[in-house]
This record gives sequence, structure tokens and C-alpha cells, in this order.
Amino acid sequence: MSIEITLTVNSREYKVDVEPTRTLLQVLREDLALTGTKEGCDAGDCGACTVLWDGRPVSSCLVLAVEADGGHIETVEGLASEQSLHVLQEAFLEHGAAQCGFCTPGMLMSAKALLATNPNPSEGEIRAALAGNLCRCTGYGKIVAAVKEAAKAMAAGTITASAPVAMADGTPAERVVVDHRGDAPEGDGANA
Amino acid sequence: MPSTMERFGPEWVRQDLIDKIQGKALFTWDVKLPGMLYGRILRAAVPHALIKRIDVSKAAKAKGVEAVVTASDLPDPVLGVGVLALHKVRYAGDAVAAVAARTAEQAAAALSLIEVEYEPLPAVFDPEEAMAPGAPLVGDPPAAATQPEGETAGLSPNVAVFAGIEDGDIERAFAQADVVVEETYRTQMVHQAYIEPRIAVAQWQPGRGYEIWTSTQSVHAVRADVAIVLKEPETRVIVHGPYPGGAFGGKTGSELEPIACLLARKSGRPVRLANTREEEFLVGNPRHPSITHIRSALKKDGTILGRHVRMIMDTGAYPGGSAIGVAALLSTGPYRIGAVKVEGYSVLTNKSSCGSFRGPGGPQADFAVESHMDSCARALGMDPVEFRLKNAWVDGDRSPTGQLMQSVSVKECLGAAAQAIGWPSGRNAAAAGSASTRRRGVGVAVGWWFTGTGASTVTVKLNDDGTVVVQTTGMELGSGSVYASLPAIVAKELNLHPSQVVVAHGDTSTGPYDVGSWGSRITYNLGGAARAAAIDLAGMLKDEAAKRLGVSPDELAFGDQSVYVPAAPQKRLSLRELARLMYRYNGPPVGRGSFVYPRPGYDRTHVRGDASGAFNDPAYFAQAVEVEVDMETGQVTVLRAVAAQDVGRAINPQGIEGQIEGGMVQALGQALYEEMVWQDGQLVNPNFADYKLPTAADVPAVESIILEKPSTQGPYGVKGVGEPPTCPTLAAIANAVYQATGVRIYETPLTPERVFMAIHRQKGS
Amino acid sequence: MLEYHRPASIEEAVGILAGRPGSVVLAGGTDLVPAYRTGRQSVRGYVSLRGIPGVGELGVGPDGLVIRPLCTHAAVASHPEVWARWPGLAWASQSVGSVQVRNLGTVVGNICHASPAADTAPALLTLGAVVEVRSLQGTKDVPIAEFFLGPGRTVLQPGELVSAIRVPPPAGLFTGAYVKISPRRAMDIAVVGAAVSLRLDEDGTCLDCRIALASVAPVPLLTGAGAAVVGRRLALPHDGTWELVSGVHDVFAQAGQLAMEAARPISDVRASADYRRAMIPVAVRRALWQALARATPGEWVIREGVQA
Repeated sequence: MSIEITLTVNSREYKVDVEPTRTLLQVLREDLALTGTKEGCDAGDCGACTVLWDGRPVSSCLVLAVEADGGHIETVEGLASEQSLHVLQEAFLEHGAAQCGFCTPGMLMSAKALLATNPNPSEGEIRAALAGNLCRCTGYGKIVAAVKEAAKAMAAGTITASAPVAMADGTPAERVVVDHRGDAPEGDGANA
Repeated sequence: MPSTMERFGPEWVRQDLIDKIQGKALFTWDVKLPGMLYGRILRAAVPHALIKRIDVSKAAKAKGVEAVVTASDLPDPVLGVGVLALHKVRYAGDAVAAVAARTAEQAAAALSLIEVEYEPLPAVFDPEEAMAPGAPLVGDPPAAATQPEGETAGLSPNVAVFAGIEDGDIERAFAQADVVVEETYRTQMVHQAYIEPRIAVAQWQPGRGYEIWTSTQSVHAVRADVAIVLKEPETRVIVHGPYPGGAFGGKTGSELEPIACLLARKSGRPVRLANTREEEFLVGNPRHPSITHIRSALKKDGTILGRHVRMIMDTGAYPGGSAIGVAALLSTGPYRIGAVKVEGYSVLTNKSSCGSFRGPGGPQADFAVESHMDSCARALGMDPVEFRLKNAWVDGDRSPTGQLMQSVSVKECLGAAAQAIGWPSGRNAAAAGSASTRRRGVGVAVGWWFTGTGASTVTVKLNDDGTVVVQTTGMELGSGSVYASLPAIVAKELNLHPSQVVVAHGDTSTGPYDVGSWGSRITYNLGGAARAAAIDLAGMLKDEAAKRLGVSPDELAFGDQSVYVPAAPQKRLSLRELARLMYRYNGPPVGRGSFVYPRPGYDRTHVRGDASGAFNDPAYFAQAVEVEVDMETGQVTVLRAVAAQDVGRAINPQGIEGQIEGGMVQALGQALYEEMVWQDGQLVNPNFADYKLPTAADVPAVESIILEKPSTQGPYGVKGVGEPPTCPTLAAIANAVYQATGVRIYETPLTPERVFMAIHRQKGS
Repeated sequence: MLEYHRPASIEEAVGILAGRPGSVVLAGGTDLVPAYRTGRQSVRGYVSLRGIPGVGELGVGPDGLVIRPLCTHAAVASHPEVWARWPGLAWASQSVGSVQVRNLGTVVGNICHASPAADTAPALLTLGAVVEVRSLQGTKDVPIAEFFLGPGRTVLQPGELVSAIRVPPPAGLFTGAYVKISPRRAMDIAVVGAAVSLRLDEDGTCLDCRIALASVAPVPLLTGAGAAVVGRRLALPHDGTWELVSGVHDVFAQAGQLAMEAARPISDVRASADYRRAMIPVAVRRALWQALARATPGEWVIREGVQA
């Protein structure tokens, strides 16, 4: 029994036919060829599949795709613009916050959601926000340092992150340049 | 205590990270071939049983199924023991059959249609029970009921490996002792828990043979295994290695690949065979659980007259991947000891087959000996750091196997770690009296570990357009040993910026041989080969340029992507010009390099069985932690973690820090949270909900201190880096818990329950 | 073939449940989705609630708290008024899983899944919450203390769903706390969870105290241990701050002891029964202290001889 759903992923609208049993993770990876989001356990315990759904980090292996019909999904592929990487990506590269790279997409998405509602997080707040993203390579230290650095850069307004966003009223958006000068996004806020 | 050596080279961004950070890097989980089928494996649910009958006929006819295989599909099922079970299964998880179907759901459904009739056999799960004569035999029945001769005489055939070391007169040492300390330590089974489960995609073509994409630490090891099991020449097994999503020793050999190949050949279509996370836990290569009996003969002044160790490792259902040989050499510690006797046993049981996990044998041996060193110090009334400093090796000392120790840095590492933690009291010592429910303490531990060897070859090619390429089949596990160290080394020899050197990763048919990424060997061996290849190329380029510029090669230097005469800089040829000339007339400009790894000497009369005789160019290291123990719950929180490690020469400092931080946190997981729990041969917690990896909220930021004391043989003085950080952590934490609470914990993990119960037993309540 | 329905109202939802036996209600999916996909549970179909307007709302007002079926742990734990008036519940929701799980998992789903370890259940028990159950036959209210029957079992019959959990408004100086004992700071299921609610009069005497536990019995357990605290003077108002009364330690210890005696813990992969028993008084005491600290705001003056 196939159902047609509409997903706005990284500001682009997709219409997909899905079986009710398929997860958002499967649809992203297999139907939309967005393989940046990874499968680590398929049980909601590791965070490798983290995407933002209406701005909130969720484990996409726990979301049936049909449940996300009409939603706005952000994945790692949507972080960079054509001109530049996202501030978080720059910071991860600078700090060596990725090693094997498998947990990295989910980690970036959780970090992005954190900074959207908590622009100046303490180390403890960063660690709590990332506690659902398991990493086996880095020991988390450089990831935390990178998130702190990105927060500083965004708050100082010195770097403008070019990232596609969805409009709060739900219409798919053009790519816009957003100055993350300490503002939380309007509409649904992510939970820190 | 920072290194006084200058930076090896500039920092830049590795090319693999640029793709990984954008979610564009190719992992085997992302590989998709046209017509690809989905495979699943039927695994035994019983721990030990004869296979009386397998009937796959219903599964073969199920919707979507294109192939079903069992051991009878192997060219030689006996060679394939461990791939697909032939007449018996040895543990709950052993592969019995496999299917490939058009969808993953169809494959899963088909498994339930495979009928297997088992005749259960008596099983054994405890290694000490398994050693005793009369224990159920895990392997195929041998000729005799017990081992006939040698070290293992009278023991069960379940004892797969013996490792022994003897040096001096141990009985005399104990006869002369002022103080004897005798203890038993135990460590648990833990899993590498890389975030990317194992997976293989295979296809078969009649002309080309088998072609495999797999998440692995060695494409050549997979090729060799598959070629043997499927009785194919190696040229007809082509293995590609996309970036592995973590490995830590768990992906050193083959597991899924031969089965994927069988399914691909039988179905005529590519097959994707992946482990679920549950299967990953069940069928991995976890760390050997250990039981170590250790006793030391001490003099009042702190001299160690003798040390006797008896260690038993549980190796699970299959004997490969032994860690007891290395553990035996580590088991007495990097100290001057009058007499040493070590007896190590690796024993089969009906559980997961244990194998290499980052520092195999290290955490087990170091937990025992470094906890024991603290106990010895306290028995003598000595400070644990002073006691270690008094006995630690220095250059020129000999190991228990008679190896001459050179470039030793135990004391430097220990001094650095102890100072950083604020020994003996730590920096966060709360002004709490004995009534406080939260108590703090600091602990230290030291260790040493080899730099792995094995053959590595690299080619460095100058392209027609003047760009430089390093060709390798070395696997990048994440440390940067391939994508950072190799460009850094080649750039150094050709005076380029590392970003101007590109790494081209080859498969087994196109790339130069490398034995594999493990054993802390990559930068040393692969880097050594890259250095040799770069020097080879440099020589060719200088020879060519010398002829064309009318000078001798000695007058030439590299700079600005050119070869030029420093004394007369207008005399120059760019790399691009040289390349074009050489490709047309005198080329091609391809440097080749291998690394001839050393084999350090030792006294063979000291070594019996599988014990390691010597460690090649060892690294030394020390860790110190400060913990807070909640006396009411037993919870241990690590407030600070310090790691001081001698890396020989830091080619890639950020990558080294990443290895130290990641390794210590991984070990922290073993120290406090992780355990694979078995009940009656069934793994009770094959998931991340109940197998507890440390989260970002549970661990501190590791403070790493890099020391550089050059190795004897490594390129630029490099020593191995990746495994040492996992080794001393368990003991450092247990020692800190002791200082905080006065309670010695003899078993890992130090879960809140274990610590709480130990505290209360001590209190007598 | 798995059925999937997306009703536009609760009435429609209960109609589907009644007409298609074997269907289950899908809220956040954090328990149901992995259970179905690993084959641990087979269902005829899902009745999704996401198409129903207002179904994720958290109603906070003078009549108390109304938790609708799709109200997530994240929504509860991020609401300032929930923290102010029912902090035990806020803390319980905050302690669940991780950010990702809290953004999907719901409080209603938490109690309907009825794990003995459900974190929000003890908090709701101490708050005297009422579960609103809907079916084709209409609506009925079930006190939370009667809702749980056994591990994974509730009073819900086929055709019934939970349309709201109502929590009465707190009166007077009211507060609460939730303490979760587990090895890690995130992602863990409670080894022992202790929720308390505490109401004091303006002189610091305890008017009401309820203590409930997770993971120590086949169901979330409302104990009678609060009786040890009721009627006792816990603190003295003094010059704009509060002083502790000596003996509070003993009162709380007694409550912890009573709670332990009421519990029937088992041994499992997470902990032994002995350890759970030993942790009950610890968790209860700590929860009571946390609650007392919240109920007596201002700077505490700790009298000599009384340990904090």
C-alpha cells in the first residue's frame, strides 16, 4: 500500500511514494539518494541518523516516512552553500573533529540545532545536546571544541553562514543567506 | 611538557575530511550497484550443536529470493570453517546459511523458511572450566582427550594457545622476598562498537572474477581470505576499500565477503550483505576477557625481586586472533625485575570468537599489572609514582625476553602525566572529610606497546601536469595516517605543501601492496614506504634535471614545485616541465618505495609457545586521571583525564591528539560502562541500549601531552600511536578509585553497582 | 501489508481502532517503530495521530496541566511553567534518552508502553494525574494509580486510546523532583527512579508528600512512604530565608526505608535486585532534598550540626 508524501528536504520539495513501513532514514538514503545521513543501529540508540525535522533533531530511523509528510527536513547535504561550508563544518575541519566521518553528519545536525536555540552554550550544554550522538573515534573533545568555536564565530557575526532554510509558514524557501548573529530562528525552535 | 622538536610540517585539511564533513564521502553502506540484491545470514540460535539437516528448499522458492547458500556451496567446506558452519555450530551466532533477495524485507522473511535440525551438544562458557580435562570440546574432536605433551600437557584441547616467558630463578626470588603481594584481576568482553556495522557488496563476472567492496582495515587480507576459501587465484578477487566507518581491530579479516561472493555467483547479480547492529555484537571480534593471577616478590627498599603471572584468556569459539602472546610480554610491566615467569593460556568457549581490539592484550595485561603496582607500592608504604620511577626501564635495560630496550621514555611520560594531574592530590581535591558522600582521588598507570610491522609499498607519481600523487592501498581508519601523514612526508621530501600532494587510494588489482591498517603500524611502515618512494622519485627528477641543466644532481634542490640550482636560481625546471619531458623521452617519473621493517632480537630461550619475543620500536606512555566517586551509588565520574605519550616524531599532531583522546575515551568505556553479557551462551545485550558506550555527557576532555623520543628505525623517528591510549586507562581509573575510597576493585567494568558493593563489603555492612 | 491511517479527529481514530482490531496507535514511535521493524511485534496497522489538530499541545492554565497524546518529552521539559509548577514531571521528561528521543517520544506514549522503568510514570503518580481514555463508547477517566497492570500492560482495551493526561493544579507551596539512578548521564533506562511531590504550609510543615518509584516493581509504584514526611516540620521560615529543622535527615531516611520496603525489584541485565533495593533510599532521599530546596527558595541557612 503505497502512499504519496511530500517532503521538503534542504529546501527542495520532493514527492515520493512510500510504503508505511519505510523509515525517513530509508527514504532519504534510498529514494532521494541523500546518503550523507548514516545508519548505525536502526534502533534510535546511536544518533548517526540524526536529521532536523521542522528544526528539531530526531533519529530518522525511528520516524516512519509517512509521519513526516509535509515536514521540513534538513540533512548534512544542506549545510554548505554553493559558495562556502557552514560555520560548523569549517570549525570541525579546523579542530580535527572528524576522524572516520561516520557519526559526523548526525553530529553536525545536532550541533546546528543546538546553536539555533542556544547561541552561547557552555561545554556542559554542548555535551548534553550531543549526548545522543555516539562517536567511537574522537572521544568528543575536538567536537565540543569545534562547536564552541562555531558558536563564537556565529555570535560575533564575523561569519555569515550560508545555509538554506525553510520559511516559518511552511513554504519551501529559496536559498537565503542568514546572518546568525545570535538570533534563534522563528517558528518551531529546536530543543537544546 | 611540550616537545622541543619543531613542527614536522604545516597544518592543512585532509582531502578525505572535506568529503566526510559534507556527507559526500563514500562508505560501503552507500555503495549501490545495478540489480543489487540484499543478503541476510541465518545464524545459529544455540551455542553448541551438531547440524543434522539443513533444508533450504522453501526459502529458495520464497518471493524475491534469487539465491540461498550453505557450506555445501563452498569449493572446500572444510577450508571454510568459520565462514559457514559445516557439521556443527560452535556459538549462538555462527553462520549456517545465507539468502539473497530483491528486497531486504524479502531476505529477512526468507530466513524463517530455512529449516535446520540441530542436535544440541554440551557447551562450556567459562574458560577455567573449559581448560579442565573432560570439558566439552568446542573445536572438532582431536585424536586425544587431553593434550599429550608440552606446556599444555593434561589440559583440555580447548586450550588453543600457550604463551610462556621465563627469566631467572622465580622460586629464589620469592624465597628472598621481604613482602609478597598476590592478587587476581579480571577484565570483561567488550566490542569495538564502530558506528558503521560491517558490510560487503560483491559481484561476480566470468572474465573478471569476484569484485568486492567492503568496510575493512585491509583489502589485501580480504583478498587473501576470499581467494583461499573460494579457491580462486588472487587476480580473480578484486577488493575495494571505501572509507571504513571505524574499525579498531574488528575489521582485520573477512567475515561477510566470502558469503556475499557465493551469493553473487549463485544469483548472477551483485549482493549487498550487511550486519544488523545486533549481529554486529554477536558475530564480531570482541576483546578477550581475561583472568590474571599476579604475584610479586618485593624487597623493603622497593626492588622487585620477582614477578609471576598466570593469565587465562577466553578466546571464544574459534582460535584465530589470539592476544595472549602480546599480553604475556606486557604482563610484568616495563620494569626491572629480577626474575620473571609468565604462563598464558588462550582457551576456547562456546561464545563469540574474540579477536583484535585496539591494543589486543594491552588493557587486560595493564589493568592487572598497573593495579598490582599500586598495591605493591602501598604494601611497601611507598608512593605509587615513586615506586614506578624507582623500577622503570631506562635505555640499555633488558626485557624479560632479553630484548635490549632503546629509546625508553617510561619515566618522562610518567613524570609528565603525574605533574599534569597534580599528583598526589589532584587539582580538584574537594575539602571534604571522610564523611563526604563524594570522594575524589587520582591514579596513574604506565604502559608500553609495539610499533607494528608488515610489508608496505607505496608509489609516488608525478603526473604529466606536474601534480604529485601518492598511490597506496593503505586504509584510512580516521587517524590521518594515510590522508595526512603520507602527503606530509612526500611533501617534505619534495619541498611541497602537503595540500599539493594527492592521495590516490587503489584496490587490490591497481594499488601497491600493504598488509593492512592495524597494530599502530601505518605511519611507521606506510610512511616509511612513502618516504622511500618520494626519495626514489626525487632522485629520478634530480638526475633528469641535472642532465638538462648541465649541473650535477648534488647542486639541485626542490622548491616552488620545481627543481632548481640554489646557487643560480634561474637554472630551474618546473615539475610540470620535467614530467612532460620524462613521459616523452626518459620516464616515467614514478617513484617506488617499500619499507623494510626491522625484527628486533631477543633471547629465544626465554620464550615458549606463542609469547611475543620482542616489541618493535616500542612506544611508552602514561595516563593519570582524577575521579569523583559517589559513595552512595558507586558511580565513578572521571573529572580529568591526562595522557602523556611518546610518539617518536609527531608527523600529524592533531591526528595524534585525536587518537589519544579517542583511545582513552574508548578505554574509559571499558573501565566504567561496557560489557557483553552472556547467559547460558546467549548474548543478552546485543544493542546500544544495554551495551553502554560513553556519551559526550559522560567523559571529560582528555588532555594529551605529546613527547618525542625518536624510534630507532622509523621514518623521521616515528613510533606507533593508535593502540597505546587504550592500555593504561583501566588501571589508572581503578587506582584513582582506590585513592578516593580505600577500596581496590579487581574487575572491570567499574560499574556503579560493582563499586558500591565493594565499598559496602569493605565497610562490613 | 501494514495499514496506515491518518484520522483527522479522535472520534475518527477510535472508530478505526474499533473497526480494525490489531491496529495500534502511533504517537512518537520510539518504542513501536523499532519493535515492528525487528519483528518483535507484529501489528495490523498504525493509526497515526499526526493529522489531528491540537494533538501535540501542552495546555497549561489555572485548571492544571493537560498533556495531549503527541506532546513530546521535549515540549514538557522546555516549558518554563511546567518547571515552575510541576518540576518533578519536567525533570522526568528531561531525563529520557537524548535530544533526538525527546523530540519524538511522548508522555502519553511513555505511560501506554508501560515499561516499569518509564520515567514520567512515577512523577505522574505523585501528582495524582488522571488519564482520559476515549473509545467509541465515549470518555472515561482513569486515575493514574489504576492505569498500570503489569510490565507492558495497561487497562486500555482494544478500541481505546488515551486522549489526554490531566494533572491537577498545585496548591500552595508545592514542588517536586525526580532522581534517576543510571550508569550514564544520558540514553539510559533507569536502574531506579524516584519521583516525589511535596506540599508545605507557610510555616514549613509538610502537608502532603507522595513518593513513587520506577524500575522496582512490575508496574511504576506509588508507595505509601510519603506518610513518613506528612505532618513533619521540615524547615523554619526565618527572616526571608529558611532554616532546616534538625531531624530532617532522619525523616527523609525513614521515607526512603519505607519506599524500599514497598518495592519488589528484580535482577536483570541493568542491575541486581540487591543494588536496586540499596538505591531506593538514596534516590528517595535525594529527590526529597531537591524538592525541599525548591519549595524553600532563598538562601538556605544551614544550622550547625545539620548536614546538607
